[in-house]
Formats: sequence, structure tokens, C-alpha cells
Amino acid sequence: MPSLINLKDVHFAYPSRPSVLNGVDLSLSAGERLCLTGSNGAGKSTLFQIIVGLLHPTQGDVFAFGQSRKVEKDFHEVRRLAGLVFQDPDDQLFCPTVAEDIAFGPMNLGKSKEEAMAIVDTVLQQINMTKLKDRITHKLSGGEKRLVTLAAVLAMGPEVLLLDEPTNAVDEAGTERLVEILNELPQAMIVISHDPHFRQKIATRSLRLQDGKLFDPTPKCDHAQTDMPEAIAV
Amino acid sequence: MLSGLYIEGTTFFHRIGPGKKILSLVLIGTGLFFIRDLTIIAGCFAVIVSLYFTAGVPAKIMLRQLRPAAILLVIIFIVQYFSNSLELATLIVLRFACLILAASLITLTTRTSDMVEGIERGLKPLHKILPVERVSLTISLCIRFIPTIQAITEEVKEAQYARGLSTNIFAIAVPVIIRTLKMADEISEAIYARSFETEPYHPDLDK
Ligand SMILES: Nc1ncnc2c1ncn2[C@@H]1O[C@H](COP(=O)(O)OP(=O)(O)OP(=O)(O)O)[C@@H](O)[C@H]1O
Ligand SMILES: [Mg+2]
Repeated sequence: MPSLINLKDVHFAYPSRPSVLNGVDLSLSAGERLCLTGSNGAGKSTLFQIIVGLLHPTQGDVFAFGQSRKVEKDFHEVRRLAGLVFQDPDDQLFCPTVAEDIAFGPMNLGKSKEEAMAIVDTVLQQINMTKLKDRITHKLSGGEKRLVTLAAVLAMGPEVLLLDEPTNAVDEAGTERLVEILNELPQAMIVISHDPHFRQKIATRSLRLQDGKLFDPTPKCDHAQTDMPEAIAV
Repeated sequence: MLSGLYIEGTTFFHRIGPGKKILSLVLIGTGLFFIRDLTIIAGCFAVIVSLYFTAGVPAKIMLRQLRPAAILLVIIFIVQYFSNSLELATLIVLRFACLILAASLITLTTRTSDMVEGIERGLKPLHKILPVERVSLTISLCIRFIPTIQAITEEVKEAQYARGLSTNIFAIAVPVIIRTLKMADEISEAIYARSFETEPYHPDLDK
């Protein structure tokens, strides 16, 4: 099976700053739920921005959906097919009400207003948040904003989801719901999360970003994993 | 605040198209400045107030629309009263009140999205010389983010009080501007990430 997203030896540094990524190799296949971890400032969010072309690597290649992506125009299709939910939900809800915000993406994809509104209802039902439909976006709580940003991205019917700390500010019930939602979704996804329990519940594979490179954390934690059942059987 | 204004309803007033409302506001606003007769202005005022009742807007909310301008209206009244006459002072203040109430009535009975769409449709004939979609997105972003910037200002003020700083316009302005610029950056990324300005997607053509 060809991979949906494939990064080859990606390097990146913000202008006049030490490098953040030093040769990242990553591939995501259909049906995978790949979890990313790494300390604060390791460059995880930066990596997502590179995948959708909001930042461009200083060296290395981005392949997505079967093609090499280099210039801005190449990434238009990537943004349609890969739904990015940013880390900070405050700056992502830019329309006055929840319904308008969720409808924004579908309408950019050429849907009519009626079609977009039908999509709004569907995705709000999917995340169990129909009650938020007519709320004013900037008056939502932090966790509600997170869920709405997810809905806004689901509304675009992406083939791949890129979720940057989706459980941040979401309460326990919300996190449980999120686990269910993500496990039910057919899309392949890359999920950044600092929460080991959450990762364990959704991941089909995990990687750790450290010193600008991705590592497979499993070999190191081999015995830790065999010990796990007792360890967490509290 | 702008985005919180809309009052749900199905009255005649709610159902008029936003384009027509904006156009009539422009006409009424211009017309008001040609009226120099106190009784006619008073009549207009009464009509506009009664429109509020027709539109099902509570009197409390109607009065709230005038509150931000109240001090200004009082000052205008006093100045006009002493430099001209009681009649002229009343006329001018009533005229302003009419204008404010008429404009507010439209924002109260029109969803922001419908308003923006109305403006977009009105601008359509100009699409050759004007990026209409961008203009209407800009308007709706303004409406959405004015309260956010107000909230940021409040937060910065509170954070500074908490750390023992007293009110200092520069100490407040600098962090507010920095946060606003950072927010603007992130919003524009979010907008592009949701396919703004990419070619419209046509599933049948793509195959
Ligand atoms: N716009 C920017 N300009 C300059 N440096 C930046 C910018 N954005 C991020 N950085 C720096 O790049 C590094 C990686 O940031 P990034 O946001 O990708 O980290 P992260 O792994 O997502 O961290 P966290 O877990 O805290 O979200 C950090 O040192 C950060 O300070
Ligand atoms: Mg991050």
C-alpha cells in the first residue's frame, strides 16, 4: 500500500534560529493512527505545518497523496485532503458562530450554503455537540473550542487528519468521547499528544521526536511494556 | 458587542433581505440630514421606536444601543443649547438618536453571516476590480475579532494589575499589539489550512 504522507530527510530551521528538524523521515499509510510525542519545543507542531505547506523545509522532500509537493500551489490539494487541527484553538475559530465556522471549509470546497449546513449538522452529531451549533465561537470554553475545531476539519471530509494535542483542555468525558470518535473514524491520522494513556488507547504506532529526528520508542521500552498491565492495574 | 447582537426572531423585519436593509439605512441616514423641522424628526423618532416593537426587540435592549453614545449626545445637546437654541439642540440630538437606533435595529435583526453575504452580493458587480471574497471575509473577521481584542486588552490589564502595575497606556498597548499580531498570523494560517482560495473542488471534474 502506498503511503499517504511521506517525509524524506526533512530539515527545517526558523529564520536565524538553531535548526528544529534534522532529517525527519516519516510515512503514514491508510488506516494508521500514528502518535507523535516529544518534549515541548521539539518541533512537532512545526512538522505539521511542513506537511500542509504552511512552512517549507530547508532541505528534504515532502510527498503527499502520491505526489511530490514543493511550491505553494502543490499544497492546495494537500490542505484539502489533510485536515489540520492546530494546537491553539483560540485562533482557529475565525467566524462569528460555530455553524458558520464549520461551514467555512466546505464552502471553500465549492459546496452550496445548504449543503454546507447539512454537513454542519452531521459533524456536530458525530462529535455529540449539536447544542453548540448557534453559539458564538469566542464565548466557548477551551474544551468546547477544541471539539469545534475538530468538527470544522471533519466537515471538509479529509483523507488524513493531523491533530495537534487534541485532548488539551478537554475534560475526562470529552477525552473518552474523543477516543471513541477517533477510533471510529476511517481516516488515517497523525496525532500529537503528551498524554500516554490517550496515546495508548488510539495509536496503531508511535514515534518520538527528539533532537530533530523521529525515533521508534518501542525497543527502548520493551520491558516497560511487558510490565505495563500490572503497572497500570490500579 | 457586535457579534453578540443578533436577536432571534421571525418578524417582518427579520425577513427583509440584508441588502435592502443596508440600502434603506443609507437612504434614511442621508434623508435625516435634510430634515430641519423638529416635529418631523420627532415623528421619525417615534416611527423608529415603534419599529423596535414590531421587530420584537425589548425596550431594555433598545436603550442599551443608545448608552455608548449617551455622553456624546448630552455634550452635543449642551453645546447646541448654549450656542444656538433649545429647538436646534433637540433636533440634532434626536437626529443622531434616530440614526443610531436605525443602524442598531438592522444589526439586531440581521445575522452577521447574512449581513456579510448581503455585502458580498452587493459588491459582486465589482468583482473585476475588487477581490469580493476577501473583502467579505475581512468584514466578518473584524466582526468576529473585535470582542476578542477587547478581551485581550482586559486580560493584559488584569495581569498587570495583578503584578502591581497601575494603568499605563504603553504598558498595555505593547503586549496587546504583540498578541494581536501573533493571533493574526495564526488565524491566517488556519484560514489557509481550511482551503481558502484554493480552486473550488469539483469531484466530477477531478476524475
Ligand atoms: N514562528 C516561529 N518563529 C521562531 N521560532 C519558532 C516559531 N514557532 C516555533 N518556534 C520555535 O521552534 C521550536 C519548535 O516549536 P514547535 O511549536 O514546533 O514545538 P512543539 O514540539 O510543537 O512543542 P509543544 O509540545 O510545546 O507544542 C521551539 O523552540 C519554538 O520556540
Ligand atoms: Mg506544539
